[in-house]
Amino acid sequence: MEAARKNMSRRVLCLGLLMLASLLVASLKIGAVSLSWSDLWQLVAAPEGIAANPTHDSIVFQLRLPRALLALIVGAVLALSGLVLQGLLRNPLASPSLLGISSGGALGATGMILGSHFFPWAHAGLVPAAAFVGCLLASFWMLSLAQVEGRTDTALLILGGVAINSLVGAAIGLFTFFADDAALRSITFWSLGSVAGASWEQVAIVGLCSLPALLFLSFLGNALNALLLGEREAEFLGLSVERLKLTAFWFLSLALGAGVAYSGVIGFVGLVVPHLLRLWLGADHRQLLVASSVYGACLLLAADLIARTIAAPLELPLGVVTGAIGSPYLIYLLRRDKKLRLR
Amino acid sequence: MLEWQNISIKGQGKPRLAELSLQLKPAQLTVILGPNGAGKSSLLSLAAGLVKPHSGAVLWKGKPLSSWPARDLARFRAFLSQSLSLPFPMNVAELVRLGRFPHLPRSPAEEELIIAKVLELCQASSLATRRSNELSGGELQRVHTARVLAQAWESQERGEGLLLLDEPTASLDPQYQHATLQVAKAMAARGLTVIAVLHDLNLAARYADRIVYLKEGHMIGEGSTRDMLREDLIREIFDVEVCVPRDERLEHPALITLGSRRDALNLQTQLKIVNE
Repeated sequence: MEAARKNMSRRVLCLGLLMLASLLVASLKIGAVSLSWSDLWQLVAAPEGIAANPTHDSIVFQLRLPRALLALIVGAVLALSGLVLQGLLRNPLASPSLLGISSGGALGATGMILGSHFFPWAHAGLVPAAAFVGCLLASFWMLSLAQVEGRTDTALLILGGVAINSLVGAAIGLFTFFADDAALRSITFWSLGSVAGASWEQVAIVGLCSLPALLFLSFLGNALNALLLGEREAEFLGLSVERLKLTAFWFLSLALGAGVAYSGVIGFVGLVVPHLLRLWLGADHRQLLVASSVYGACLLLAADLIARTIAAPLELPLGVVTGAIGSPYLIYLLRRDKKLRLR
Repeated sequence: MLEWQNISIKGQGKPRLAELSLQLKPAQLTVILGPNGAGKSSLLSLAAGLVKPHSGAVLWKGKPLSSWPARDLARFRAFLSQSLSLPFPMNVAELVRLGRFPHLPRSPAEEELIIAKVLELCQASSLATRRSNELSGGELQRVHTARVLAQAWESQERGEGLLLLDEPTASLDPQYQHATLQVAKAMAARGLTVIAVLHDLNLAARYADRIVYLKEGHMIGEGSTRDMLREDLIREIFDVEVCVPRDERLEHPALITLGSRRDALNLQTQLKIVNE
C-alpha cells in the first residue's frame, strides 16, 4: 500500500524531471532564430572563449538560457508556495496571486523603482528587497484580516485577498500612470508577468532568494499533513502552528518577492499545479512538495515557450498563457466541487 | 496523577468553570457527565494542556501541563475531538499515521504494525484503503479514534499517559459504541488515565470506573460509578425523571430516563405550542 504510493510518486517525479529537461532544451532551441541540433551541440562542445558561432552563442547564453532558468525558478517557487499556502491555511483556493501576496510584492517593487527618482537612498538594486517587504506585509495583513478568534476563516481569507489585490492593483496602476519611466515598464508587466527581461544577474538573485524556501519548505511534509486535521488538532499532535506559519511566510515572501521583482505577478501556477498533483498523488504533502516544484517549473517554462512563439515576433504576457491553461481547470475544479457537495 | 487545582475559566459573561478541584488516578476510565453547556469540553480541554485557565492550574505528575513543550506534551497526551473536517480527502491509513507525528519514527515495519493494530482495535481494518471522503460519519469517527490510539501507542507501552475522548461514541452504532469504550477501558487497564465525555448514561454505567458530574460550570459530584448513578443525583443534574431498575443479574446499574420534570418540556405543553 505505502510502497505502491511511493512508487507512484517516484514515477510522477521522474516524468516531471524528464519533462523539465526536454522543455529546457526546447526553450534553448526554439525561437525567432531556430537552432538545429548540430548548432546546439557545437555551442555546448565549443571550448571556453572560442565560440563557433558568436550570434548563436549570445542568443543561447545571454538570452535564452537565463530566461529559461528564471522561468524555471519562478515556476517552482510559485507552485510550491501555492501548495504550502493551501496546506497552511487549509484552503484549496489559496495561492500567492489570489491572496494578494504577489501583488503586495509588486507594490513594493514599483514603489522602490518610483522612489529611486526622488530619494537618494532608494536604488534599483533594492527592488527585490522592497518586493520581499511588500510580500511580507501583504501576507500578514491578509492573515490578520482572516483571523477570527484565533482561527483562519476560509471566506474571509479569500475576500481579504481580493480586497488587498484590488487595493494594491490600484496603487500600482497609479504609480505606472504617473511615472514616465521605462524601468517601471508597463502595468501589463506587473499584472500579467513576463520573464522577457531576464539576465544572469536576475537569475542569481532570484535563485539565491528562492533556495532557502525550496529547501526548507520541502521538509514540511509531515507538519502540513498534520495541519490537514485543523490547527487545534495539529497542536494536539505537538505542532507549533503559529511558529510554523510565521517561518513559512518569511521564507515564502523572500522567494516570491525576488520572483515578482523580475517577472511580475504570474497567476494560476500556484493554484493549478498543487491541485493537479493531488489528483495523481493524493493529499500526502511528503510526496506533493518536491513534485510541485518540478511541475511548477515545467508549467512556467512551457508557458514562456508558448508566450514567445505562438504570436512571434510579438510576445504574450505570461499571465495570459497561464490564465488560458489555468482558468478552464479552475472552472472544472469548481464544478467538480459542486458535484461533491451535492452528494 | 492528573489534578485540576482550583480552576476557573471565564466564558462570555458567566464563568464556564468555577473554582473546580479534582484529582484522577491513573489506570481508570473517568466519564464526565452533565447537561449541555455544563463545561464538560472545557474541563477536557484543560487536561489537553492547550487552554490556560484564568486561575488555578492543571498538574500532571505535579507539574503544570501548560509548562510542557507542545511536542513533549503530544507524546503522552492524546485527544479525540468532535466533528473534524478535512480540506482535502485523505487515504485512511495516511490519516491514522498522522497520530505518529509527535513520536520518533520507528522502523517502517513497526509503524505499519501499529497502524494495523489500532485500526483493528477500532474495527476499521476494512477501511484502511478507503479515502476519507467516501466514509460515513460513524466510519470516520472510528478512523479518528484509531489515529488517536496511534498517538497514544507509546503511552500504553510505557503504562502511563493521558487519553482524552470528547464524545467518542457520537454517530456510532451501538456495537461500535461498546467497542470504542472497551478500547478506552483496555487503555486504562494498560495504565493510562482515560477521560471521556459521554451523553449516554447507560454507557457510562457500564464502562466508567469513576464519574464526574458537571452542571453550569460547577462540579456537583465525583466518585465511583455505583455511588454516582443514583436516582436523586441524576434527577437533580439532568432535570429528568429516572427509574433505576434493580436486577441481580446486572453487574452494573441500568437507567431508564422517563422525560423532563419541567412542565415546559412535556408533551401536552409542546403540542399546545405547535397548535397555537
